[in-house]
Amino acid sequence: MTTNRTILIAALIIAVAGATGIIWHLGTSDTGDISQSPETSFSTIELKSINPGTHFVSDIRFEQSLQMVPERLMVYSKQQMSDEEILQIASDLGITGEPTEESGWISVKKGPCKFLSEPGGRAISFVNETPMPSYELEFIDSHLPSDEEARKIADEFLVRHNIRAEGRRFVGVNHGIGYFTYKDVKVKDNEELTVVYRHFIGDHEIFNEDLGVRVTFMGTVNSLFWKWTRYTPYKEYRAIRPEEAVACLQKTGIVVLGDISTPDYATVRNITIGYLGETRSKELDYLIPVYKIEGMVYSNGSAAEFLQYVPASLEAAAELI
Amino acid sequence: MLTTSYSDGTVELLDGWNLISIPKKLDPNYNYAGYVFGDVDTGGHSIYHFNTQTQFWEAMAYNTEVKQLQGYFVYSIGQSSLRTVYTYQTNPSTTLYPGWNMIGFFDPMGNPADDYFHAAMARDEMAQLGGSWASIQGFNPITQQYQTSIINGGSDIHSDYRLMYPGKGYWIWMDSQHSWTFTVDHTYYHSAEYIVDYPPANPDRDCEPCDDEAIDFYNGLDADTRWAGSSPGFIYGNDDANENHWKDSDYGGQDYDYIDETHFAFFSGHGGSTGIEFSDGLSSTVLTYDESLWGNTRVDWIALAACNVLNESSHQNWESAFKGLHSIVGWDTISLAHDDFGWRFAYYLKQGDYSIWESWQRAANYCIWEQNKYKVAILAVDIDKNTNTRECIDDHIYGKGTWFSPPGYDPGFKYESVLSY
Repeated sequence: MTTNRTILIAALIIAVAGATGIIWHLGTSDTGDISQSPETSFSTIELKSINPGTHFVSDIRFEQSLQMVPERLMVYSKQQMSDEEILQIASDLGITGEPTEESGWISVKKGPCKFLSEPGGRAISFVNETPMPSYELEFIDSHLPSDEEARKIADEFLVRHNIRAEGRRFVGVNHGIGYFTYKDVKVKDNEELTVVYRHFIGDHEIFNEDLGVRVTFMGTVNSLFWKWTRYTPYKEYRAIRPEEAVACLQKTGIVVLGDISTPDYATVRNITIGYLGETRSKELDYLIPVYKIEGMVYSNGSAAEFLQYVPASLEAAAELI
Repeated sequence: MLTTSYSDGTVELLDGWNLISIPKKLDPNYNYAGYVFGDVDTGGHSIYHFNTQTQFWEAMAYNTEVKQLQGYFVYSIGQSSLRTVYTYQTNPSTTLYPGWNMIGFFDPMGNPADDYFHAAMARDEMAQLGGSWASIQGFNPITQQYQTSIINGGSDIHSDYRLMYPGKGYWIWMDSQHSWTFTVDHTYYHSAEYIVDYPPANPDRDCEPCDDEAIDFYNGLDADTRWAGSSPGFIYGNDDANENHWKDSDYGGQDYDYIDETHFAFFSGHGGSTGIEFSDGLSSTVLTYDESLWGNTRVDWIALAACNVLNESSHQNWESAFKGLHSIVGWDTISLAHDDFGWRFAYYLKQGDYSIWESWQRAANYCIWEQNKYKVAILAVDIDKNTNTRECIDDHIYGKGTWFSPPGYDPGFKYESVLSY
């Protein structure tokens, strides 16, 4: 008979024994004892990619042992910022022009500085359009801060301008590089560093939120993008196990971040618990716990990454999404 | 007053002869030659204008009115500048006669929220004249010689895709008489096309959010007072969208009647490093970069919400498509379609007055959750091929900030790619 079912049974037994480092093999879509209504039978956080799309992969394997998760996870209720709070942030950034509002968006401008907030302050953006004194390569390279210096500049900027991003955790510095091209000539003519912070509730990341502070090669801050939620505890919900979340992928399909059209199998490399405050198609009123599942799909010697979010509590998803 | 995209309105003279013009309408209390040229040491030379109708050179008297759309020869000992007190703009007009005319420059795309100090391609500056004009000649005060002529329909160094500039005067040869007028306010048009249904009948290739991306961008910009989605603006999706709407007539397309008839065009669908993909639901076709010539009719900016179109390794493919186009924003990596991307992009453009590049980045930053996986990019004209100046890469849409007019001939380029976070 086929080996798939045999291997599955053996894998489950080993899992119960607590062994680690074994390749687990989900050859069926058996989700064990999860009781799912039709509404929750699919991962309700919809995710579609442009290229190449969502693919159904029945053969999903694990490369790591799965973490233990609490039986119950907190859901948080999102809090909107008031217009006064938003304008105070603009003022703290030194932008004190006459505000305008349209559809809840608040805009304030002063000289080359522009401040824009989405309704309720769910995303705040600042940009300073003052041009740099020079974009010559030698000037850029001689003035460009190191990543460490950029982080320090960003940290100080946030403190100086009273940007209270509680729960922020530095995660890295992105380099954006610009080039001038003319016929066969290609020379660097810009480099900017974006210091990126992610938003954490305790040890759990809010996956759809971050703060980016852009540091120019002159060591000045010319841009800030802050997508951040304030929240209060709402209610605890029962959590599903990581392997149950992975089993959901067999029903919902996997979003592949690469050009593989018919995956043969997938391997889960990392599962993390965190939070999301939106789906790909709508904002939520809550931060709900989710599993972020990352891995690879394989087909005929090719491989591509995949990334998927699955609610960590089906009850919360059914009630709140 | 917004800072200018080209100059601050000062008309500067270099040592020797200068062929200049007044870029905007002067305050009637300060529009006489004695005031305007009051700071210029002409060394005893007269200030001249050539009257085509009479075929006589006219020397400016103290009280002679200094007019828009007229060119003036001025001699300056050393560097100097004109005294200019501008006033509320009204539509300038003049008549051009057969033979040589000495003309001035007026910004054909300016609006009251702007400064009217933008350069323009000769073909755009002279668009109203059609085939009535034959050639244009500027004067270089540095070399004290005439510049290479611009020929109507010309190519290479005589290309009418070359720029003309505010504050400069020009000779133009007219084959026939023609009135020449400009409007000081404009409505700008935008268009959008999207593809959701891709063949084969495999739902995996369908781009579900692509319609929302395009429609919401279109409606979002339509809500601005200066931008209109009405004809020639449009929005088409699926089998109504067509690669011929983006393809130049040189390659059998009709972009002059579609996206190149608007100022801003948006596409959402599948793409790659060589082009963007259209579909009628049964089969698909790809518009490739080498079938595209944009900006030769009207379009100034293009947004391609499609994967890999501006990939770092291949973005230069699109440089040949620029014939007056200012910039393309798109994705360096694969992209992630999102229902909210289009309207967010529009909101940052029109509500925040952000540059097109900043607005594109902001929309991506909001919609992308994953770190270090997706990159957005821009390819923009570098007008003066000087790495020290930014120009089109910092464009705002009309009415929302500074913008620069690129030539459609022999431009340089700037490319930037940043990670969404």
